[in-house]
Amino acid sequence: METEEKIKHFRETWMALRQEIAKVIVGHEAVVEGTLIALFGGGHVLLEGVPGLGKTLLVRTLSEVLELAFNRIQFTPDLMPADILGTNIVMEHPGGRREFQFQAGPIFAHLVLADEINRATPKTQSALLEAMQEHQVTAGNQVRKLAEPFFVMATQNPIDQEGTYPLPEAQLDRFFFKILVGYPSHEEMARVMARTTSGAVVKPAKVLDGPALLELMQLVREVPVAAHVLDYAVRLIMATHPGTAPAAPEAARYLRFGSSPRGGQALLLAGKVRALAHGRFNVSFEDLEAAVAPALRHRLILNFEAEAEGLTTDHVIAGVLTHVPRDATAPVGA
Amino acid sequence: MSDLQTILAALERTARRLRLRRALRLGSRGLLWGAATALLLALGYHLLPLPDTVLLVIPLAPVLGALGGACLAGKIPTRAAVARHLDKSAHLEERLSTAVELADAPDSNHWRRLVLTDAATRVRALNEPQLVPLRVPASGKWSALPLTLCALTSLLPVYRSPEYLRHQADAALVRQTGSQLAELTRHSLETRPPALASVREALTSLANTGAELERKTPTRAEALRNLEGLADKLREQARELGSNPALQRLEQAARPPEAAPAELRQQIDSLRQQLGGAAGAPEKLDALRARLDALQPAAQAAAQPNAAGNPGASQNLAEALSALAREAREMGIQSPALDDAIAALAANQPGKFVKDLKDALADLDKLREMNAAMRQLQSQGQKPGRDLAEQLQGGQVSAAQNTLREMIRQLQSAGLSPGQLRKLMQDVGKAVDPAGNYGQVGEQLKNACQQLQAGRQGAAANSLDAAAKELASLKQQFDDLRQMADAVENLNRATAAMASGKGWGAAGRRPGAGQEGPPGAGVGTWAADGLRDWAPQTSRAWDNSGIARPDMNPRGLADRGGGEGATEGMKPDQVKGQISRGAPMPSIALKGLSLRGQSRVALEEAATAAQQEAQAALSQDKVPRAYQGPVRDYFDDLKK
Repeated sequence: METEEKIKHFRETWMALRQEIAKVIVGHEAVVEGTLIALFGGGHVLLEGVPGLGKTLLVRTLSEVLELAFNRIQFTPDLMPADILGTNIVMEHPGGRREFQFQAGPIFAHLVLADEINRATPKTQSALLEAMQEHQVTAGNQVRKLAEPFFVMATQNPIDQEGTYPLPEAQLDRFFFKILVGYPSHEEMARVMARTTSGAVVKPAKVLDGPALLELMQLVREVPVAAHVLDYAVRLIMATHPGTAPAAPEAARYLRFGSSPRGGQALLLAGKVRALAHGRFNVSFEDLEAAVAPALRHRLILNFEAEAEGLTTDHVIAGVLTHVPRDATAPVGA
Repeated sequence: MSDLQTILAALERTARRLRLRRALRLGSRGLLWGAATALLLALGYHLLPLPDTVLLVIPLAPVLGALGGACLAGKIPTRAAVARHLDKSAHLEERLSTAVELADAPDSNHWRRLVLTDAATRVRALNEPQLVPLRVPASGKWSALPLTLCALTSLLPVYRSPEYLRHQADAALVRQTGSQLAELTRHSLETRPPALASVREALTSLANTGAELERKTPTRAEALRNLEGLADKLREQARELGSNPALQRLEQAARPPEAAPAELRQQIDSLRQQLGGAAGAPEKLDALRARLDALQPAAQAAAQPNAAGNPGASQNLAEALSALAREAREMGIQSPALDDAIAALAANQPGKFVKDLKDALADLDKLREMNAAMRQLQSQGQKPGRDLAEQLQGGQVSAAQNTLREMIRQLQSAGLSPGQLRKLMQDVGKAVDPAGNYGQVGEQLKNACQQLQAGRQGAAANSLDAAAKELASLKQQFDDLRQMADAVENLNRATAAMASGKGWGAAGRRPGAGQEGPPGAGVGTWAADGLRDWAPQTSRAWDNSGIARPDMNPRGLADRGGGEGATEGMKPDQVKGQISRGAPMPSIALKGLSLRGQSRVALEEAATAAQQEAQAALSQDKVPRAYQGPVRDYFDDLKK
């Protein structure tokens, strides 16, 4: 298939996915777009929002429009790593012979919904580390590859502090995007209420299967990026590093740690997906700026001062965006 | 046009517009700064004692500011930079800059083609004048304000403190005087380089001092001190040079003769006017006369009755006469008879033609006679010595040199008769005594005389030649001395100019009116002092300063004339005032106590002492040559 046709296919798929998801999810365009960007970027998504906003529904809908194997894991404090990854159990054959057999856990799927991920203990949360980064699971002394594509869509509730365990930094860094799910608007709320209380059942159509998705993910990586745009992405990441020369004032003041290179990768990939999704063949500054918050907000570690002032990483990211100019060279004709 | 070409063309156009806009912007800023600077300078010039060169800078500042700013626009921006600019200004979302980067990628790259096509589609829709408008920036508009204010300041009067004005005037005076002094001295050095090294050095030093005054512009007092010091030095040097008795003799001889009588001058002037261009050029008149004589036979032939048959000869004669008449007119000689002769020839009137031609010849002869008469009148004031003795006695060195050369020539020629030799011996012998005043010349003449008596004519010729060379050397030294005296005079004039504060021109102006220049600033002249356009040819019509009118001389009861022919007792004791042609005496106003009360010295003693001092000063050449006459006369009168 020619590049042009692939791009056309990507756009058609993108539009179809948006349409199908919109049949179920009312509003939340930014959330849906962010989730799809992460999907095509090959990354995992952490959805954060108060209960009842449709986070789980979104992931479930996504699993329905994608012809992918889907598993849901409800994270609870007593959930064990083996409950996620799977375990060797003794199986007795009809002849009476017994042997250990690996019983695959719910992680063995294309799309895994880790619902309320912060309710599990860090030990259990960490069970996802290898799977999320290396797309493989090590159980006993055996390494088992996960089927591609592999995505983890996690949700978490920010308001429940009792009985929750904040995700460790290493875990957070493995999420491509952290998307905040906000309240719906008045119209959206009305539509949600009307749709969910009418009894009508909407079944979204399948749009994309695994191999096609993998092909489109490969296409995304081919999108060209101009040198100065790439430089902008680098400068944005560098500006989050406190204690360094290029650090933005907000980053220097409120951050303990800045973004890892993984954040930069996520930023650029997200830019590429967004460019294609918006009908362009190149990444623009706007693409990066649109992706910088979901790509970096969970990778920045606030210091005590920021915590004390009640600031969020989004505040720091806004400061970084203000501080870092798009073009580092002097404007011509000035 | 391909997508890439479309993009590149758009980038080129935009790059040029960007550069122009930058030049406009920077030029306007430069104009504003320049205008502000000009305003500040204009205000500063009106309030502070800034130099006049500021007036040149004021109009230049805005122009230079604008040009300098425009020059800072620099080179045309790169394609990448222009692409980024267009991306930003036209919201192309980095399409163009990405396309420019991918332009160098191989054609097989699908993304390159897609990006270029996408960018070219956007570029075609661009409106470059709208994206990069060329307007006069606000700074350019604002610069009109300081420029207007700057122009308005020219209407304001300039304030300068009296102290500053005095300093300026002094500086200008010093500069002008220094310049004049340096120029005059340099001119003197160029026209006649002194033979004596000391004189050359002294004059060079004087020229350098003048140049230094012009360049460094010291205060007036310092300049006066410098000039006084240099004047003392030059006077001392001139005195040393003049101490040579031979030079003193030459100096006495070189004094201007008594002024020619007014009648004589008037006659000479009248003759000069009549002679026109032929005055002082008898050879021109002789040439004209010779050519007219040469035409006489042809004229006689043309006057014959049978000459009518040869029109070619008449034509040639008429042309030759016309050429002659034209030349005469060009020489300033009016010959109406010649014109009449040409007219008669053309009218075929042979009788009148011959008569007019004779008249023309007579006119030319008359002019030649007038020229000779003028020369005779001119030579009346110069009476060269008849022989070597008189010439040496009269200080006529050039004539004496000529006489010596003639004597040498006679001695070297073989055909010298005994009578001539005797005469020559007598002349040389007679000249020995007067030659004593000329250093070695007397000795050489004495030797020559003895050698002639001994019949050694060759040795005598050598001695006479040595005498001639000695005279030439003395003449040269004397010329150096005069040059030095002129330099001292210039120095005095410079001192006077500076001391009086009236400048070089006023210091050098002679009092009284005359035909040679504008009237002076002396007492009693009625002409405007600043009159520049003086026309001598016009003034001759009414200037009667050269005409002697004894009948109109004011004579009082006690004025009995000069006492010519009167007995000793009847000679008038009244001394007529004389107007010196010299420069005004330099004077320096000195503050001091005036001496009051009765003199404790008798008048006669004081007068005698003054006379002695004057005599000493005159003999030591402490008095400038131009003033020596009046000084001598004054103190001579004091004796009476």
